[in-house]
Amino acid sequence: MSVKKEVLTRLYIVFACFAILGAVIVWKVFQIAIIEGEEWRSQGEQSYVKYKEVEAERGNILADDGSLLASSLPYFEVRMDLRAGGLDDNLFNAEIDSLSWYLSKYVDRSRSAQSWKSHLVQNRQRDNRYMLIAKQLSLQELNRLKTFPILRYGQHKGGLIVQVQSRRVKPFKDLAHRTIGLYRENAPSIGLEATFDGVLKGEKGKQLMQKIRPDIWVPIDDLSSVNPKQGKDIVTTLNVTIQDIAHQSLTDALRQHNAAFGTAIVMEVKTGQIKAMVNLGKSSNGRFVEDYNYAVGMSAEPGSTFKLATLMAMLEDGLVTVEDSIELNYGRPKSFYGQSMRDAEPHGYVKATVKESFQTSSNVGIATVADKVYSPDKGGRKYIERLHQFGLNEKTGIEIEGEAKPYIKDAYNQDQMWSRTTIPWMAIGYEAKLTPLQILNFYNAVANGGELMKPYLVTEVREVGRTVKKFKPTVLKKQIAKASTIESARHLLEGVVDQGTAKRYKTDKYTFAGKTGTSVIDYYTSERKGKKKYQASFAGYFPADQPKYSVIVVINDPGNGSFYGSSVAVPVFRAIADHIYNVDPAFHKTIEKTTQPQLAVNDLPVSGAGYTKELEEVFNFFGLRIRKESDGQWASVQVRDSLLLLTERSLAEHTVPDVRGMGLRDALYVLENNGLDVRVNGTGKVRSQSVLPGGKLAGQTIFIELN
Amino acid sequence: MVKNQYGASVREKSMDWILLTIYLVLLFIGWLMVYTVGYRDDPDFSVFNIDYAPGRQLLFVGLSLLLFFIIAIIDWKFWRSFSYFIYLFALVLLGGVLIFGATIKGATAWYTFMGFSFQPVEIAKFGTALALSNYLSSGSINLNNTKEFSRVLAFLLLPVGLIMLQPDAGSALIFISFFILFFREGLSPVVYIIGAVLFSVFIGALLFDITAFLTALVLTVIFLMILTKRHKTYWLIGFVVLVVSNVLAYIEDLMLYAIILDTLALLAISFMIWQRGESRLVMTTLPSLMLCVGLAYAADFTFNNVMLPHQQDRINVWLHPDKCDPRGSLYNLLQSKMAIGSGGFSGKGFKQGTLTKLNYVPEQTTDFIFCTIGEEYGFIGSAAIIILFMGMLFRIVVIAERQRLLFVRHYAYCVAGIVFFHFFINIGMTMGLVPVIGIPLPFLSYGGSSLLGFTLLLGVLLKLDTTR
Repeated sequence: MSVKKEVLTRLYIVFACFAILGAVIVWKVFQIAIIEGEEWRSQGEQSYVKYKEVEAERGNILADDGSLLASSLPYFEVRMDLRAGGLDDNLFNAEIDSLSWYLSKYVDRSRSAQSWKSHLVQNRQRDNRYMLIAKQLSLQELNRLKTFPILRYGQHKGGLIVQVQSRRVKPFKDLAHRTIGLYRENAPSIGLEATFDGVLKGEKGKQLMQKIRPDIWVPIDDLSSVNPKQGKDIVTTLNVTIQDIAHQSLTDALRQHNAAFGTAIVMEVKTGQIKAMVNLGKSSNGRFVEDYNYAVGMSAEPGSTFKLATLMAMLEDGLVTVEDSIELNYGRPKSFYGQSMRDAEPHGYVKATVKESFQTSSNVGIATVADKVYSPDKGGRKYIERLHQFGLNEKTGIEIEGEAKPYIKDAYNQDQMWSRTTIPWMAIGYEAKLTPLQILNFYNAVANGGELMKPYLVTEVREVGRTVKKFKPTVLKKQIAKASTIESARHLLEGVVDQGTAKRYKTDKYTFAGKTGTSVIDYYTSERKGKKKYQASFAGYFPADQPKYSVIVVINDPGNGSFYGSSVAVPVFRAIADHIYNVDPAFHKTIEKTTQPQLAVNDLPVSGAGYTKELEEVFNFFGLRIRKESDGQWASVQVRDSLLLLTERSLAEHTVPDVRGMGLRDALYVLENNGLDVRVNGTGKVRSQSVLPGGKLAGQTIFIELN
Repeated sequence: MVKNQYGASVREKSMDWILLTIYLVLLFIGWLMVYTVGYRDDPDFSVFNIDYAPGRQLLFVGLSLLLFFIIAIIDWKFWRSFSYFIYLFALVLLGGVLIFGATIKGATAWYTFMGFSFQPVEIAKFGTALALSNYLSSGSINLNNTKEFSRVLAFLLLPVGLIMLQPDAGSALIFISFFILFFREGLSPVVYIIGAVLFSVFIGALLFDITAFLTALVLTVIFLMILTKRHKTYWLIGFVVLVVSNVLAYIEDLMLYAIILDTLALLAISFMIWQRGESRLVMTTLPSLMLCVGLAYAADFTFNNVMLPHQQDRINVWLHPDKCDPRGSLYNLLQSKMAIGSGGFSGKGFKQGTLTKLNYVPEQTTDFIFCTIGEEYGFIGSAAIIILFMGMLFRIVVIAERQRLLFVRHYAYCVAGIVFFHFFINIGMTMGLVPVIGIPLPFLSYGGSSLLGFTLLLGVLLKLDTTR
């Protein structure tokens, strides 16, 4: 072979190598992009990455003074990727025994270390990359779990997968439970949680997730992730103290009378703000719990409390005066168009004025007048028209879903079974249905000089402590009746307390007015069966001269003999009113005003404790000088000379933590995360705790007193 | 005016515009790819802001063009005269980086200053190419003379040794590319055939079950030996029985018996051939077979005991992708294939590559830049890039062959070899054709060292070419 030929051959070989390997690469690109292209595309585009919604922390529900009524605390679910990249056989085999031991000791005691081990080994063999280790861990438990063998190496080496969830807690437990409502994922939410869900839920975040196996997605850190936006807080009109006292006194009454259920509502007369709304029903174990929103959702024949509307209609039409005289015949049964009616409570009147009939709650009296005035000449039309004028046919529009619509028959509507007996029976509160809240709202309008307010529960929406929306009182009707009618109505109501059915409960401390009611439930059926069921109620307001609060108390089926509104419902009203009178400074002369306090460190009532970072933020915001002496998560605050000293508040593990001085949220977080069942009393900062710090943790109940 | 190899003065020719154009086009595409991946929707972002990759790469492109200009005005003789000096300088840099260098991803391969980092291996490739070219053209060196060839090899082994100390096996591997030059200059094909066989045995041992692989090897040798016999019918029948029993043994996991049987058969046929008087055949075949067996076990041992875990992973991803963790070692390759695959025929378009943009593909501006091309410009774009590279390589070989000066021809083959190796390994690894080896794609990958290094290599070639 000549040199030239050999060189050429070698040259061709070099060229051929370049060309062949170049062609191989082009072929491979062709294979991936065109032949297998569809497969890679579908993996790459549709199913390979997707955005997962990240739940935002739900906003808090606050009482009128800022106390927490409902809040969210985080908890954690831990899973394990048994085929994590860095978890090789050496590491796994070396630490599996000790990990199993720890898991059986701290996470699930029902499983022995050996059982944990075989469980883990099996799942590793099955390539389980998402094995459940523990659910509902508190932060403390999670932190401890992070120190376990294998898991301590984190996600990539130890296969640790942590998912945050949040748990809704109600610090005051059953208090106003139905009003605050429930937030449920798998069932409709109720109460304010449902109505204000849009505000509370915040904005879900977006996290880009990547599919690594048909059913496994892992989060990827990426610029396009959107952090969830925390839900806004709502401030309610509910007053924890009033709610508490109403709850207590209604519970006592229900228990004492062995009733089926009851409700009590306290409303601020001028604004329509609901200060308390208690709904208690007897549970299967005999205790009374917030089980249904009777106040808003339960429509029933109101009974005697409705007589006010009847009298006001007649007064408005100028058809009677309060001094008109009526035959009562001792309240003996009287027949109206073949149907017999009698008075619920016995009395000695043969003849009485309209006012006296009202005070003694004489069915016969009121029915007789109404029948006389409205039955001739299709007068029922006027009657119904007046009821409409009083707003009694309209929903109140409170922010709780499921408000029942009032049932007031249209005049002479045969389809609604209008008959000759309708007027006399409707006059005393039958053949019509209203919810306790609707009745109360009517009484509130009377107390408010005729101005019908819309009852409401939420005053503010707050975003990170800043008010973003305010709800003002709403006037539904400027004047439901002539001033003179309202004037007369109020005299009538005052008369009930002064001389009528509620006079036993009169007090020297303050004046109140109202109307008792004792209605027979399912009038026609229970009357016939002889075994009557009653509903006792009292609707009223106080103080009588300058009404500040209106209250309704309804107790269903009191079973222990006494069923009169006066003896069953009025005491609850009194308990509530007494309490408000005692604590509300507006009822007392103001004490001499002191000079305006100045914001200086020494004057601050600081003796608190809390989450170090938040404390720092707050103090810095107000420009207060602080000295930090610890890097701990929790800190105590002390006043030193002219600065605030933050010292470490160490929360020892396995013992009851010291939460004294903390705000409610911090305290709840710390205590609940330690597995304690927390009961709260009062507002403000924690003053004392029933289980002293350092005690052994055993999931016990702890009472904390706030002031 | 320059002198040719016979001492006669010749006029300097103009630069080769074809190669120059390809170079500039690749430079531009490279920057565009870095831009499309590095683009951010920030107010600060601008192509001139060197806090972002596109801005930095623009700076490197500018520096490369400046370097190119400087090379163009320097006398070509500088490179030949200073070739050994540049080579020594590169060795000093390689030694120095072990002491003063920064360690990034496990390799002490970088000098860092003022926020920029520089990889001396780029200078080493250039220096070695110059020195080797000069040495080979200095006298009549016979590459097939073992003593002379080992001196040539020493030029390679010095920098390779220093690079292995970093350790950066990928960059060290590039020095194999000089064997293209040796081939052109007459190194015996036997060297390449032996190399290819050893390589195949090595890979075969890793790719298959080592016992089965070696048994197959022995059976092949027996078969080839039988074919040399004249009366082979009975032997062939016996061979079929042997193969069947081997397969059965494999299934029943009785390979030890099969190996004994095969060894006996091998010895028997060898004895028959020996008897026939062809002892030379036996004397070459049996030791070669022994060598292969030894090598196969050596490969196995190297893989399990010498290679670092990440190197084992890369071999596994290459040879046994089905056994790899799609979220662990296989992740990069899967992402890369997905990006290329999702580009389809014509790609998603400029700045539309979601997988590459969202940082799915790791190292996507540097080692995996080819994915971006695949995703955004599809098969068409990828093929165009490959054609550009092939064009560049062929042009370099054409340039090499038209030189009067041996030095320039040698140097051109060095450049061709280096560019080809980078090109093939880099693109091949993004598709699983070769193991993942962290080396950049010439002119396209993000990074100053690589861009300036290749500009230096190519610029000097274009300058030297003017002496043709």
